[in-house]
Amino acid sequence: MVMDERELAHVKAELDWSRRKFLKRAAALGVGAASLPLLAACSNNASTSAPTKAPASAAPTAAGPARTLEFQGWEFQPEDIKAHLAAWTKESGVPVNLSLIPNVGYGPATQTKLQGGATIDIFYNLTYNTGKFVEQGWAHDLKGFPGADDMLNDMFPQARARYTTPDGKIISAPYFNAVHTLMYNKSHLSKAGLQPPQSLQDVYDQSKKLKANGVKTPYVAYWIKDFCEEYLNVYLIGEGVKMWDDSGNPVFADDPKTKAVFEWWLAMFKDGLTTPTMLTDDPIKLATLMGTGEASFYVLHHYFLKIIRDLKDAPEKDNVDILYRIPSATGKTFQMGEVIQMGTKGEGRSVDDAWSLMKAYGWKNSAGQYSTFKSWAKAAQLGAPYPAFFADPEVIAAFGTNYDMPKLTDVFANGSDVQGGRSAAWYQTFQAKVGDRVHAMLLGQASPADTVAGLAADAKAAKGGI
Amino acid sequence: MSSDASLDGTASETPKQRSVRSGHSKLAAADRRFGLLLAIPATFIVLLLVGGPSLQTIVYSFEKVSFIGPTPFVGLDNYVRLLNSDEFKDSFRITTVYAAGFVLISTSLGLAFALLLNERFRGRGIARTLLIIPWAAPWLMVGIMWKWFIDADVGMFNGLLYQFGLIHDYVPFLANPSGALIVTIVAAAWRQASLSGLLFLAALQTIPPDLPEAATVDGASTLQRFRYVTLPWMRPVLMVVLVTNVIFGFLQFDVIYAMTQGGPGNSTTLLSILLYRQIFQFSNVGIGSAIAVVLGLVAFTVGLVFVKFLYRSESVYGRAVE
Amino acid sequence: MTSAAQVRPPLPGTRRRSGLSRRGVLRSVVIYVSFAVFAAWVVLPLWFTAMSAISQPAEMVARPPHWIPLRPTLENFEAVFGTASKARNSSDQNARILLSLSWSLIIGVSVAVLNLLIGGLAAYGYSRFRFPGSRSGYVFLLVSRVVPAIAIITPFFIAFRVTGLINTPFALIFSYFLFTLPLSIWLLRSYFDALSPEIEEAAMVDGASRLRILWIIVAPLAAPGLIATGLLVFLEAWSEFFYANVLTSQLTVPPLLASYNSLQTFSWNTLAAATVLSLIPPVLIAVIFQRYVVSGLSHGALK
Repeated sequence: MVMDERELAHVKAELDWSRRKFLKRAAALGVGAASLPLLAACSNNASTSAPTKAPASAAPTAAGPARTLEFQGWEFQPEDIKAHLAAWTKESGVPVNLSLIPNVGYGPATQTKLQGGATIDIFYNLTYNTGKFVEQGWAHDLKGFPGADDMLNDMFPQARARYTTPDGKIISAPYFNAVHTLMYNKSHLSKAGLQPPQSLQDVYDQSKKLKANGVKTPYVAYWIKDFCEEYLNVYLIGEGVKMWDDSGNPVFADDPKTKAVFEWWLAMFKDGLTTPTMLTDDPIKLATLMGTGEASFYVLHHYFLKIIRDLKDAPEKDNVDILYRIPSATGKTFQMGEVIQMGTKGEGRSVDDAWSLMKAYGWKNSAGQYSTFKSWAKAAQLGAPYPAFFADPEVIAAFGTNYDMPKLTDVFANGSDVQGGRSAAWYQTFQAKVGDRVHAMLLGQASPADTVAGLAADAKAAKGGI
Repeated sequence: MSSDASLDGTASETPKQRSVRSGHSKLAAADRRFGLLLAIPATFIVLLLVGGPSLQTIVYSFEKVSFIGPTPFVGLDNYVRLLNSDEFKDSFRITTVYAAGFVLISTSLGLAFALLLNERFRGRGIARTLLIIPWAAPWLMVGIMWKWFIDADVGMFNGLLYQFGLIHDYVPFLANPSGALIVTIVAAAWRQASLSGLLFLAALQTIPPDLPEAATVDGASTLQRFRYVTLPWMRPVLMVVLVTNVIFGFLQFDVIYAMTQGGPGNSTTLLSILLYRQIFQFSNVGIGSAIAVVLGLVAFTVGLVFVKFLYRSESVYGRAVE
Repeated sequence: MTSAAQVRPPLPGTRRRSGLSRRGVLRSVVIYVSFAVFAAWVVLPLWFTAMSAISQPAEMVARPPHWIPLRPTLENFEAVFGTASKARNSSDQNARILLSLSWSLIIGVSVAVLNLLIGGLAAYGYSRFRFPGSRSGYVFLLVSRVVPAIAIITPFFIAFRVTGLINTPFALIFSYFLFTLPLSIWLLRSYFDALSPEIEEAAMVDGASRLRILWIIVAPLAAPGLIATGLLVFLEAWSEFFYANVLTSQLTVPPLLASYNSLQTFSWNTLAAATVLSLIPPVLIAVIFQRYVVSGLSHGALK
């Protein structure tokens, strides 16, 4: 940085004269200095080289006092999280330490910690990360853990694909579920004489009409870079495109409907039917646009309806309704959900303890209640992958104010796809590329055709392990 | 030699003192030991604990780093891949543009502020206090504040433009690739101009009054005084400020992270952001390390260019600035 | 204007023109306009943040905007402190910000003190003495600033994990100390270079040991430089985000703000309130010590 001019000039002169001597000295010092962290890194490599195998029995393999478990989550309902952990600790006698990390950068922060050898027994994770984490040895394969199969069997059949891999690993447990839906402003539509849209083309045409009627930004969606991959699933599943073949190879590029979807995607943005800030806006801001009537359509997780209805100073919020059949060719939507995974640093009884906590948090507690999921339902109307959850009267009551429960349950049960390909080990690399490609297209830097081809190439490259 | 390393360039040791100091007696040897003793802890600590990891990063850049398998040495492979990667080339170009804009704005604004604050006027005390305030705000906070300041719905900057009738509808600056780049530059410069201003002001305050006074007696106008007295005097500190701003500009991360996360698209994906993604999102430690090495080298080189360009011995009013 | 003043050419910067002279008026106009522009540049973003902190979200969308909120409120500050009545605020606030502010202060001061001690000694050594390796050592220190800190965090993380210092203030104090040391050594060395060694030499002739000279004579003389360096180092430590984010769980203010920034339940107004609170300590400290900064950077009195 702030090199003193004269010093530097003289140093340079010296260097020219005695470069070898200087380099020798520096090399000697550097090697000595570097050896310390390198040694640390070597020892770290050794310890993360192979994930420890799951114990087959439920009996503790080591007696003695329990180690405090490390639980990491992101910032959502921290009081509830603490309550759940406390309840489990009371029953099990094992203390749990909670760390909360900001949402933005959660993935990289967690990866850094695990890469650095940190012990995190249970941590929230994003589905598209889960395969990679298991492959890198940061998260346990839960196959063979007592009750793991029962947990899967308790779920909606098609939801199981999120928590498993094609080769039979169980890589995560549920945290919450949601389905993408279309929220729309009834009065905007009725004033324009429109029925709720049934297809992507409807959405486009109706948006155009609504814009002509004075709606500032008819269609809003959470198109930030990180989320484009979810929308990729939403739109392609809707149109009935098969994205991955049984070996996990990308086949979406072969389907002409894909290109049509991308052309629609570009047209919505280019033709001004959305807001240009949508590439960076946060979802609450978009919800506010629905609340003030500046937007008519909002495609995002179903629980955003509650968020809209809870807004202050939102004159249009009661006019916002939800379409359970997402406008598309098949009417099927994308069921997303985030998960919890188990770290691999635990040993002996810590593994058993962590598994017990995992079941209580991601499935049922010891009383057979979906206690955590109920708390999320009450707080924000998040869903779960378990049919019995939707039948619980408390849950129905929590959802009841805003949602038609039978219809919503039907979407979870039958009207949505989980897109199992997302649990592949290479998927995270692909997921990051989707946002890059889509944004480039929307900003006019690439054509839809090139974008589709590029995505297929990205998937192949990611899968090929480059 | 020690005397030359100051902002104002005044000498403080006679040559005799210097020669005694630099080593022709037992006293000198004791002096040397003492000096070594003083300097070793700090230097050694930095050498070991910053130099070590830096060296490790360089080593990583020549490997295909894996934490679950072997980490083979791949020579220049990572660098070749970078050179062939459009993403890298774009990021390199964007980083250069960013740094150039950042250095230009921070330096010129800093100089302007310093010149202003060097004058006597009512309220100068308040003005001086204002100068340091941006520097008290963390980079991340600067990013957050500016992100909302130019927001397309509630931002006051848009509000100002609207109030003065310059625009009819709020402008989404951050949604536009060039807009985003410009705004992130300005936001970061908002803070950096204060540091530059402080450094410039410090140097301005050390101009011995007899110099400009002599110039005035010789009949120089304000502009001439500025050109022939002030500017040459400022050359050393200008170099310091430029090199500082270059480093801060190339290594900027927090502001981008807070404002745009590299978007929209890739328009604000500086090399530091690219580095972050490669190492922390994709775990491509080898490639990420290569990017880090390139980034460090570029910042160093540009800094060096400024040093060479501005380091020139010169006489001012007959006095060698040497 | 007295005739005496007109006879002697006035010093630059102290030139006092008759208010009626054209050049004087022009100068005043230029200066005050520049002052206004400068003040606007500094103040506007901060004003906006402060006003947002006491505004209700609904008022923010007014066009043209309300320069001062018509219906100011303290609800944003309540939300930051976790005492908001609306239960929709679902983040664990409860004065977390006060905790983070305290840690930021403690860490900042510790880093500054460490720098002044260890860096100050080194700077003095580099300034006053010539010893083998002094030039390369000094240059090495300066050059180390081009290393992108983000790239070298993993060895730090591993080292801190192994020593059990993750999520402790020591991890940050130590890391920040390393990265600010070159800055403080450069600043203080420049300062010492400009400090005449006559007094020290006189004291040495009188028989005082070098250490006593340092402590009793040099340190007080170097006070402006020490204060300026201490302040700048404090602000660098205060400002750091990435290492704090990775090595700790929002122990200091920047990662806490980042987490607020991504909280879906925090509107800009609440975030602004948190920002305002976070700005108070560093701004206060900077304002208190700012007069030393310029003099400290310009190495004290001119002879």
